[in-house]
Amino acid sequence: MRAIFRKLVDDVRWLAGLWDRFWFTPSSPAALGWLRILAGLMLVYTHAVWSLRLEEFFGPRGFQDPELVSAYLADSTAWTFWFYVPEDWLWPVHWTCLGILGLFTIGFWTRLTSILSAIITISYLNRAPLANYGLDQINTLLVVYLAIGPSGATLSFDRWWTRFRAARTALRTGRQPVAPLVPATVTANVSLRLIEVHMAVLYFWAGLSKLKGYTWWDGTAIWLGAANYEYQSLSLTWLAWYPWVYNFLTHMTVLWELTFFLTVCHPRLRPYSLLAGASMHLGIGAFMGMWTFGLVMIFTYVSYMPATVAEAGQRWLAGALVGARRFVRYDPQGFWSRTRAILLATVDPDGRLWFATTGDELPTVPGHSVVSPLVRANAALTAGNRPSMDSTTLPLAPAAWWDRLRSEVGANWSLAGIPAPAQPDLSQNTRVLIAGGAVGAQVDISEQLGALGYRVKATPDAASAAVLMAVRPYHALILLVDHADEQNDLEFLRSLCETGGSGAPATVVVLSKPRFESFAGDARADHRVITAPFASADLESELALAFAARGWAIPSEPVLANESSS
Amino acid sequence: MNHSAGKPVFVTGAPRFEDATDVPFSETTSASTSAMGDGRTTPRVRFWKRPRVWKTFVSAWLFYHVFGLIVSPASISPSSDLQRDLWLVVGPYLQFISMNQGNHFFAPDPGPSTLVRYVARLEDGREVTGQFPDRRYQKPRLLYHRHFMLTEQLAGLADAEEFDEGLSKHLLELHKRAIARQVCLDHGATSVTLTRVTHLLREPAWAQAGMPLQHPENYEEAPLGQYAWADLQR
Repeated sequence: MRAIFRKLVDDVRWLAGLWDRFWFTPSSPAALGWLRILAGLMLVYTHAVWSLRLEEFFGPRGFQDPELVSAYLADSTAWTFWFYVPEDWLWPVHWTCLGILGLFTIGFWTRLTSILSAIITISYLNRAPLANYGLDQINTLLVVYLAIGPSGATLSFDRWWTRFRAARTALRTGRQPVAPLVPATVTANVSLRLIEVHMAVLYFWAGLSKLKGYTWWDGTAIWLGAANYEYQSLSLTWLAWYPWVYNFLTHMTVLWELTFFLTVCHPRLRPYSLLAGASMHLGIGAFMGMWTFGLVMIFTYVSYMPATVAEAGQRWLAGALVGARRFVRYDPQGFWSRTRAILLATVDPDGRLWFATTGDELPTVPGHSVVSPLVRANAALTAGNRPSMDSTTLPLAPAAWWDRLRSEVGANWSLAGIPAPAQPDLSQNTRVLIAGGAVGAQVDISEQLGALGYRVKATPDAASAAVLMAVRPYHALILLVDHADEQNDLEFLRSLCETGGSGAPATVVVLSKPRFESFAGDARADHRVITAPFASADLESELALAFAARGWAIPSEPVLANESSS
Repeated sequence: MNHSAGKPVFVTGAPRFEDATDVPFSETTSASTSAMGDGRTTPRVRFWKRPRVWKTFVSAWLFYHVFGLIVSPASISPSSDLQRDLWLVVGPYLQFISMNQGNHFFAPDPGPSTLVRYVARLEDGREVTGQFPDRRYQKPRLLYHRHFMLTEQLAGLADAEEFDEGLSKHLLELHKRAIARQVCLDHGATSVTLTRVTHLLREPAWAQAGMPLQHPENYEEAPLGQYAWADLQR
């Protein structure tokens, strides 16, 4: 009996852990940015179309007169602000709502406009309840869930404004602008998960409800949909001669809808499942004229997109906006020259541009033909110009490593202003720095190593990692290589560590794909290389091996220690 | 506790997210002297900011929300007493956030379309005819669908009226009057006659015989009523 009880407790704990990881693992808000733009455009269009017949649907004597709507919503908790809008204010309120939806789309004051957009969408929906259909349901779920998470953290005016201010401050004083980081958050994850779960439930019920019908069993339902003249935008009557086609499509629709919640959970099946769904919705758009509904259903699939894909999309956009990596010369005293540089830095979310004041000698890195963000990071360490990271103090770095870093990449700049290095105290924690890779992978590794007691810090690229290594000691550096653009910089960082002596961190290079095996640098005792896919324990082993090679003992059991605040 | 310099030491405690992995509801808000009296500082966390506390509340809401999404479509007829009672638990909340969705797309079976034809009589005695929806006049397609939904809802109310003499009948009458009033407003008519037109769906054999979907035989008409503008203003 006790064994059964213990098993039950274990299973409940396992389930609670599963729930906790599913909902409360911080996620990158990159996908939310794309979703906000797509959903916002659809919201603007949907509500702009009301303008063509606003009085007919929202006026006091139209199709949806208040008496009818009040009776329809009687005994319901549904609400709408339209009942409190005087007739004379119909158009001003409508234009204001459209303006707010437009601001939400571009990500302006997104925290506020996302909530207002949800209120607006629900109010329109409930004011014209007899003219709604699936499009409005999906619009509502998207805008409500986007109001929960930081949907304006990326690809938004808000983000540009933050970058603009950082660039303006930095370039006025001749420093390099450093983009503030976009944090992974729990609310981003909750937003995305709610959309995912909602769509899975929606499709499941769409499939289950079809099982009540006869035509979904006899295989003619798709034909009946095609033969509905009022929906038809392209004739599908030729299907009448190919019964096996509409039979097959009918059965596959039910099967796909019923199993969507399973197939979309499996990373390998997910792309096929989403492709099938997108094909179905594009078909609905093309043949039944419901383009808006078809498209908005496909938009929800962005929530299933891995963070790496969403971030790659942002990098692609950055490339399209600012072009290749290059130097941009500007005059800090010249208004127009400085403004141009500030605007370029604002729209350069990927750190592609290196800003040099006129008259500066352009810095180069041996063996690197392109401007490296690493160069920029080290330039930020020039006299008195601390990089705009979050450090409030400047801890000490190992002398040998510091000298190495300075001689290799800081040769062209003075490092005055940085305190003289001294032997650090490494006794308190094992400090691990993650450089590069997707935020999702960074979070996974941070959690995994954090649970083992490592102090983990994650940085988006080699440049930020170099800055942190210069001002703080780290035992190990994990280089996440998942993008060709970053490979050069990470290789450079790795080579520095390899030749940095015992003061430099040990490294573990994580190659996300076999195609990155060209990554320069051989595996050594204290500089490891690991290629995905690998078990989570493998990374811990590689780290432990690297430490062992340094002569650092790895305790077999975690040592209890009270960590003092640093 | 002795530690050798330069050697890694495992430290217990929750994972620390710094910099790039900033987690909202961060744990540390202020520091106080440890109860151990050893001079060390320990974080003081406000009750509602403790992960276990806010996660419990958020989890409870998430569970209720997802539970509501899952069970609410089950209350659509045919449904059991249990399914209808569960709707009472989650329905008001879902209605409030407008997520009371049935998710019965083209179910149980794709049905025939419903149109509303009208004859509007003007003051000078002329008659104007038209119908909802009409893709020639309602553009873009989204606007056409808005009108289409009006007539589909009317059909739904009319069919429900056969089973429910109460609310549906009242709603149907209000809906018909609203359509009639809008037609009068559009054309400046003194009266209007509405007719419900059901466009039947045909078997594949119909198309194979070369018959068009818009053949007159495919339309069934039922009168909805005649309305005078003077009455509609009351």
